[in-house]
Amino acid sequence: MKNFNKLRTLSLIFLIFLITYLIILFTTYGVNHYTNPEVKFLEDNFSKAIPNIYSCNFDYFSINEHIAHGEFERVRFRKIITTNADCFGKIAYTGITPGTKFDDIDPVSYLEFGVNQKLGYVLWLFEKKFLLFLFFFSALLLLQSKLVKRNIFKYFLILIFIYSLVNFETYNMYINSAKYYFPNENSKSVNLLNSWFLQND
Amino acid sequence: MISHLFLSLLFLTPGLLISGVLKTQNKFLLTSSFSVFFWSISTLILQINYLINTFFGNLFVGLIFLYWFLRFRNYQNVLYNLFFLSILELINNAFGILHIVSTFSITLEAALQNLDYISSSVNVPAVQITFLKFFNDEYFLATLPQFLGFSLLLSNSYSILNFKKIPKKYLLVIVPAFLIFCVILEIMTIRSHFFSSQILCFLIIETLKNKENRLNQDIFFIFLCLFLSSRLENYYLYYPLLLLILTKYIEFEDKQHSKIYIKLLSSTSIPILINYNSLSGGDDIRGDIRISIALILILNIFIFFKDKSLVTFLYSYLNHFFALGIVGLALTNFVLYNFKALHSWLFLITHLLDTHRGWVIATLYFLLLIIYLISYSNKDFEIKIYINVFLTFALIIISSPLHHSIYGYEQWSTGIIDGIAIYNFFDESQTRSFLQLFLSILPLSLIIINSHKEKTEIKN
Repeated sequence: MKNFNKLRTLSLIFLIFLITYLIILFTTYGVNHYTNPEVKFLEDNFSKAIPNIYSCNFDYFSINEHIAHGEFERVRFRKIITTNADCFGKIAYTGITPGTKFDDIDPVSYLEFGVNQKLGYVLWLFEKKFLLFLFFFSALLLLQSKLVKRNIFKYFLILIFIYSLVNFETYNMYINSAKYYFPNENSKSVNLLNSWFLQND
Repeated sequence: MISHLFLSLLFLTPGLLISGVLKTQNKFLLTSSFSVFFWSISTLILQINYLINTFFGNLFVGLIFLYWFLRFRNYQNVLYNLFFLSILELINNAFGILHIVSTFSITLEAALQNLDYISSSVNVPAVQITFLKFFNDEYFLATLPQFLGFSLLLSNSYSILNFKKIPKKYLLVIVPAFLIFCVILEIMTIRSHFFSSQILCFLIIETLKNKENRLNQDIFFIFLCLFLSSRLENYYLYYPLLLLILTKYIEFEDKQHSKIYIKLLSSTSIPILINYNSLSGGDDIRGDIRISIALILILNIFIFFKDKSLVTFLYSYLNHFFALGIVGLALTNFVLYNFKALHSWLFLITHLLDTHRGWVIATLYFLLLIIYLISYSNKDFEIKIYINVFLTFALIIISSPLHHSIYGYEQWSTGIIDGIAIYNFFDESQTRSFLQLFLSILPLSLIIINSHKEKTEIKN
């Protein structure tokens, strides 16, 4: 019985910690990006083209949604710290010329966007997939704190497995270049010998 | 193919011989660890490198292999290890599964110096240097870190399954962790974090077992030696955990016998000798060999006098003192570095909670594991271990300003954070330490999933 109480208490503490952090994020970034007309504005004014990004005029969520229409393979959002409160959760820069049509961009070319964030305050609220994961994770924590006699650890594992699998391709890329982590031709035995020894002879 | 087999046998032979001598021939998964233990000594005793890169040295190893083959006739051991290593090499040569980072080049530089019989003062552990010593003109054995790490991971998992009497199908429980991208990325590097994590897990499992289920005492001390020589920061980050583990381990052993203390002293001081050059070469706290020596002496004194009232008191409240120490370190860092210390902590927390590469998933998974392990443990000592692991996590975060002040360069000294990417070069060492800690307790998740928990509770 003692252990069951411990599981309940610790699960609830963990859940409270997560919810508190989420509330802090909410007060910093808000969630109005889900309802604001920016996505539609981008669609109407920059239909399938790179918008003109300056002075934190677009948020991370809108640009992410807009760029997703281009079905590019190598889009990177590089998260950067700022102390300017007006720029929290906003796009800082992009290296692509404004107005460039999606059709004129090679689908496998490297597209980088800088996203501003406050130090210590991550951008969970702008990332739909993670919010969904967090919802299920929190629900499982709540469920475990209620059903302490049942071990639902395996459901957490299933959730982690599915989330990691779904996002594997998204994460399999360098943040500051067009390269993928895997497969890595350079790590093959013959290439290691070539790059490290034959070249240095 | 022949080069690959030759290099594999060259690497495995010392391990095969040690496993024969220690009568652990049936523990195939430990053989590679014994091998790396032997070869890591070549970082200090440079003449051992003759065995790797000269014809007569190779011939000598060949004779040793022949002796082992005729004396112990443990074909399965060598076949299993060759097969496992070959599979990893084949996969790497077909798809390229390794993640080559800048550490690779400095480690290779140290390995090449050793093979030229020059001691290297590059600030990397001997075990890591050993990973890159096995190559010739035709082949480069590149997957040794993965071979060692996965062998020990499987060994630890089977060990838990056996002593907790858990069905083998539950081995699947550890799979999801290896789909988290930051975890894969770390274990696929030529670094020793993954291997080191599994050595610590081995030590924890051996300590949790009853005396009759434990492996030979000498194996425990070899692994203790390996743990301390596998990462230079292990002396610092895992010191309280080692105090807990060793005090408990020796409690069940024959305390009256002075041999155990000699073994303890040897296994904790030999890593300082093995890593002598690396420990003398860095800019940071790890580069001060005097601190390592002092820590090892205190550790041995603590264990030797473990029955004295003062030590018993310290041991009983070890986690409390550890927590106080962390608070003290936090205050010290804040006094020393002011807002820069705060920046360090926040940078690290931002990194660990960010979604990219699944860092937040690894962090949540780790915290969840701790919660379940604490809740599902029936013994005070086990709970103490898991709380200590959590405190080690806190120590990794709190100690970050000490690391950033060395490696942060201008970014750190100016204290300006505007425009710094959250994945920056000077916070990665701490995050790797976190992953090592996470992987250390990962096999223990098998205990949580045990559906026969209630039965076990009744038995206990």
